[in-house]
Amino acid sequence: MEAKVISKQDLATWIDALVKQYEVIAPVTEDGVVVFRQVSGLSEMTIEGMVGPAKSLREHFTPPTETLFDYKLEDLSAEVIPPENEERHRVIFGARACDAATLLYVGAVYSNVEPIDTAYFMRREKTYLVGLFCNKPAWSCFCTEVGDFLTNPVAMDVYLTDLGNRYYAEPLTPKGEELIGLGNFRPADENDKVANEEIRQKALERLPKRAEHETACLSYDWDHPVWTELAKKCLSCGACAFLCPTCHCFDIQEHPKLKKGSRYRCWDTCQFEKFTLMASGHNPRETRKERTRQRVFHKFKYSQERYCMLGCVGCGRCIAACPVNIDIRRVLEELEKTAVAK
Amino acid sequence: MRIENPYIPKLATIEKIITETWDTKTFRAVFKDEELRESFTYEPGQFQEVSVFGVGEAPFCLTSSPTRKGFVEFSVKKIGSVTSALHEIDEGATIGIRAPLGNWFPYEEFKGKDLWFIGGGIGMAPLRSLLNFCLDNRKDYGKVNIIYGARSSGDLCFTYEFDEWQNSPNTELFLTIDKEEERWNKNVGFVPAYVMDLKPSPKNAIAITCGPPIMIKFTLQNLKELGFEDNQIWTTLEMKMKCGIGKCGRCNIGPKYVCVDGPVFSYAQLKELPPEY
Repeated sequence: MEAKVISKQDLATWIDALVKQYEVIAPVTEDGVVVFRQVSGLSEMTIEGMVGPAKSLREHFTPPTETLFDYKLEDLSAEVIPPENEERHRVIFGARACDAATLLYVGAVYSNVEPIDTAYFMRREKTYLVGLFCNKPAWSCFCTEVGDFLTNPVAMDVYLTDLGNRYYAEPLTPKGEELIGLGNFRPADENDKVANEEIRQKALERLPKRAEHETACLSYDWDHPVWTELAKKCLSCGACAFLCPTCHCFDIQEHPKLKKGSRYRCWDTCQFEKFTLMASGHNPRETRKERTRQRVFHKFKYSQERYCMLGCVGCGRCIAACPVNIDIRRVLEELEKTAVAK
Repeated sequence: MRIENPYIPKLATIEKIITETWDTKTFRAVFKDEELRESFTYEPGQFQEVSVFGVGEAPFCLTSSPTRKGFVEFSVKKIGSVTSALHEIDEGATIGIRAPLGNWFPYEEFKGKDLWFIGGGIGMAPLRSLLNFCLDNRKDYGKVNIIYGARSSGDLCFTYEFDEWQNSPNTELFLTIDKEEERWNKNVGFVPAYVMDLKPSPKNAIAITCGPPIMIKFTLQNLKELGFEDNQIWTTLEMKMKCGIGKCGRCNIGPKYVCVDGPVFSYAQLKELPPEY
């Protein structure tokens, strides 16, 4: 599919055209941080110079709390009322490559065994992604260590690169071409292609080189001293998991009223003690040592064994958010040192 | 287009409640949908998520045998919020059921073999499904031995089926309780120790065990000492299972989810997994 270019002057009218047809979700600055919210035009968006959104797209595919069904009670009987399907089609504008790559992983988790998670896939089917290349990766970014999706994007329909006074746009799907068709684009010329390549190279130079996490992880050491170290520092606050785009674990709870109520699911994390605590009092992952190990192993070992892919997209949000400076890159380095030594 | 929402339970009526012990009841439920009631089937070892509307949902093994059609049974020890709510409800009440979930005992592989059911306390519930399944297909299996223990005689469940079990051809029931009691003429002692006394022969035999973790641990050790191979020993695990369909992520042991890859595992399979259960 042919690459196109749109000048920054024309961006606003393209966004307006998208807003007319779709619900458009784009990065905005809210309380000083960049998050994805529904917008009605370019003026609300934070696109220029954005380093990285503080929050991922996760909440737009699996909301922090989501009703599974409502119910009504009458004496001895009960009635279950399923939720209404959302009919809206959405464009997520300015999605990062890491957050888009997450969709492949979470999609695998939610479809790996029947039945599939219908709520998630219904949202996904109705969502189109206009991605944005990261000209200036953040200090905590390490996507290049876990994949090559920054330059070979996945799960996107269009991939934009900011070339200064214009955006370079690669349509990646027929839907992407259709979206581009709504704006005042011209075909990309040789200059545009060279500029695009240069910007990509520059960004790649800022990022760490690809490591061998895939192979090293599988031999990770169950009794490695790093787990005790982590357990000493970790506060079990769960910030890493709640900001992680690939973390997908949830709890199912009830919100009862007198004669009606709803069953809902909400985000949960293996970093919390009660995550695995059973009614009998038995807890298979009782201490922080077991819980921090679970998080790293789940992303780098179990995910490969189960879904044949890493459960980390290198967005670095867990690193940036950790109040006690736990850096998953350092943890992996420690593990790999001993994996190599063995 | 409406695709099935996998979290929505099917409505069922509690048809019968059996008080097993001071803290355990067995519930017999029938689906309200007549078609489903007829077509519903499952395998011994599978489990279900039971909803008490207004309280929540919790996993219970199907303790009934699929050979006995038209209803499902599950045994509940009063211990948490959903189990306590279940203990409060009456016959005729409506509950929700998502079932069948998980894997099952490979009963085809057990054919022609002597079976040793080794249960402790409420751990007898999942074994009962397979046990009654085997007794209903009696000719397919060799000698059936049942070792069943509890803290006291008052903690034994399914006592009303003891006669049926004992009187089945080529079947023997060995009961044990932890401490001496007046008028108790069966064995006294912990289940693993009783296993050592009875010395089951591993020859052409399968052991299926379930009970408190400590009982399973020592039973496994003893079975190994008696010469049972890892793939001759089967168990069914308990875990905090919320979704029951491999999505919510909390019942993993390494790369396996107990709710979809289990709850039934052989000891050989368990040895491949990290010790987090």
